[in-house]
Amino acid sequence: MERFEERYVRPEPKPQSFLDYVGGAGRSALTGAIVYGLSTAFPPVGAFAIPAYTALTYSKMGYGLYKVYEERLATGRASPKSVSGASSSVGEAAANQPSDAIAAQVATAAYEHGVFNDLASHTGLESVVLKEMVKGSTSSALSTVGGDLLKFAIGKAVGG
Amino acid sequence: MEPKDFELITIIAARKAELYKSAKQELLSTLPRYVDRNEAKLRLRRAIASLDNMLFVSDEEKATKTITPGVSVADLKLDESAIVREVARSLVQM
Repeated sequence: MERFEERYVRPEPKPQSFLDYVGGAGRSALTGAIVYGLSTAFPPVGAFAIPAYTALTYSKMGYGLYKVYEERLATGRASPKSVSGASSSVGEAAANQPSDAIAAQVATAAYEHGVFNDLASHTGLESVVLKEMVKGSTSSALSTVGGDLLKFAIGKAVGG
Repeated sequence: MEPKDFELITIIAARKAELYKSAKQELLSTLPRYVDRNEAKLRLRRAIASLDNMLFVSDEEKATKTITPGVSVADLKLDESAIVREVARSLVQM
């Protein structure tokens, strides 16, 4: 006898992979759609999604990241020589560059220590999103391509 | 790397996160319902995170060599077309 579920309840179709969709839909067409969508993603001028009072939070979070980095340097886990073992221990996408592996270690350890929680609570951004952004930004800062950032000073917060 | 360097990284990371928050909504609205939205979000997050930090520094900040915290991505007058181009390229390659 046919079961009720088999007769009346259709199984949810398995979602198509984003990358498969990219391949099937025609890369240029999809890229055009994405470019249009992202172009409208910039918030209107005057919007302050991240308010000035978070300036102190930036300092605290930056210091928290530094402490994690310093700790890993002290234990030899953030040195370029340790990179080959580092990327696998992080449990994320394989790092191609030494800066990627160090950045992944710092961001993951900082996440586990709750370093992102304060900024997350002030801005409504998810800690896991901040972790990913810190990872990418640290890698960019450590690599020679994006190393110019570290020559900058920090100005007074707007409205602070 | 000094504490100040990580403060700079934090400011840039927050700018990237701010862009991600709004870009996510726009990207998801362009996708058909049957496409894996979690995968799309994850790829967008990684694409924005891996962008060169200097794309999130305004011309004024480059001229004064000073990063100003608390300024919205919109008010920075960044090179939006360069950012969008790089994100789109990463999304289809990652």
